[in-house]
Amino acid sequence: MESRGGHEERSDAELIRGVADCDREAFAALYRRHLPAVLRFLASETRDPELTADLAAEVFAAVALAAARYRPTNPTAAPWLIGIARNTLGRSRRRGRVESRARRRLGLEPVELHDSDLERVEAIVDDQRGRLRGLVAALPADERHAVELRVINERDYGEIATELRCSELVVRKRVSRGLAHLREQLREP
Amino acid sequence: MDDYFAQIEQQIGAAIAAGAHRRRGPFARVRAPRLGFGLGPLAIAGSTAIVVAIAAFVLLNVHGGRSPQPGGGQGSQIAPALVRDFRILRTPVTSADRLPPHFADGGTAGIQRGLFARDLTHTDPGPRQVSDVASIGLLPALTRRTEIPGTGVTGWVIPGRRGLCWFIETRTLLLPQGAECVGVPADPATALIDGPWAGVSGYNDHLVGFVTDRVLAVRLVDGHGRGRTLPLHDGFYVSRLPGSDQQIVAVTRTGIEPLYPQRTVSTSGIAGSAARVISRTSRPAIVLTGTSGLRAQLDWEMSCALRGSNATPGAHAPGVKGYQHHHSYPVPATVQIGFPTDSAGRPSCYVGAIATVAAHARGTVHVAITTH
Repeated sequence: MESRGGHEERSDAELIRGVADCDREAFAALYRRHLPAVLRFLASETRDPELTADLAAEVFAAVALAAARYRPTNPTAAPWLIGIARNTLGRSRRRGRVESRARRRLGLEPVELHDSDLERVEAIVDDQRGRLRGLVAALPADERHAVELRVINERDYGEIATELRCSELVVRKRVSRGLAHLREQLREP
Repeated sequence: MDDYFAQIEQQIGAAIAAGAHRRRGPFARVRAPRLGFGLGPLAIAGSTAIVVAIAAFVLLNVHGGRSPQPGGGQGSQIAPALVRDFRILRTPVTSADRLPPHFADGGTAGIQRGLFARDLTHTDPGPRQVSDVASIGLLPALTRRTEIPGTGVTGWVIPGRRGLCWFIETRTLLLPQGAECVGVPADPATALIDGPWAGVSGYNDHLVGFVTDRVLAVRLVDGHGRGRTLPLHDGFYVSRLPGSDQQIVAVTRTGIEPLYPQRTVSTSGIAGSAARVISRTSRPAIVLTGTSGLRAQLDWEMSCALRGSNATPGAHAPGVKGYQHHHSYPVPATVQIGFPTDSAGRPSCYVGAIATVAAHARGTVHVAITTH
């Protein structure tokens, strides 16, 4: 068996192949590499640390089950993992319960959450906010201004247009572009 | 002991090593917590809404999101103790802080006319409602607004010369919640706030509280002191309704102080119920049952969409009215709820009720909303 250090240098595709081949060290490396991103995504969707932690466990159990079907299309498996997270979240919302099918398949035992675990998730969320803070600041000036006035200050489009001396359509486009840029940036791991 | 995430890693790793992920087998039973937590509307919001909410939070905190506005210079009119005790009152006023016109009479007049005012009869000592709101001398131009991230709750604070009023607005109810009006903390002349709190307001199965800067953290704890820290934003916190053995406490520099209930309630000493819609022909009532003779504090709220505004639920239509009542009753009791009427008949309403029992009391209380 390879050392853990060796695993950590392997690509996502190699690690996932290792998972499919029953290599628990490969899973450990994959898990540690992508857990923060998965937690960030789930936290931003649920805004609840407990749900985030619970869903993350289900996501990685689902990753283990789906490893054999993974077909690498990107240098990173992050989009695949986030896709699994998104599906898990969607199924959970439809059912009104946190999905647990994958964990049941693997026979996992319930794990108790403690304050320190929740604090860890909250710390990750805080990091996300810090990241967003930077992303907003990095928007082009016209988009940033429009997003601030519309999203932050909740001003009417007409009011903003008057202030910026442009048409409502222009304001709407700037806000839309600004939010699209933020969404795009946030999707990147 | 390993943390939650390490244990998950180990368990999944062990399952992988055993090949469990490659075979199909019978499912073992594991817990599946409800996702239907009270913050559902936000949780199921799309990614855009999340971005918007986070962006709002970030910019309000980082840039302050606030620029001086005419009227900000009136800060000296606010009771200095309020400015000292509530951080939100030390932030400059911006256009985002303006009370929307859909609030009855711009908010302040509505509060002073008693539209949101409460009739509080606490069974426990705690923050007391100002009986004469006019005595506070509200300064609506200095109103502060804050969104409590991740909750869908917006908090409003209207400061005054001798106190303040605050109320909340949620995405799930049709109108702003009743205002809580309190005097200046630690002011012997008013002494309306004798703790680190400024009161609590309820919606659905949640409570929103507003606390002073003395509070370093707010926690929802059980009888053994275990629990979790609630996010605190500009003095506001949101908590699920505490269970029978739970309590919301404030962590201050001088120790732990109870926020809600003011004292630990006895087992089953707190109960809640809600009815989303009351039909136009029914007569709703709140029924308290349990240990006979026990005195319970009943807090109920009702928001009604009058005919004509029903077509736009969720919008802050002028045809929406809110009612609140807070009083203590001996168990058993039945409290009839009077319906507002408009020219077209009875409106449809949403009623929520919470009953609590003081710590020193022995017994249980249950609350139910009935329609006949």
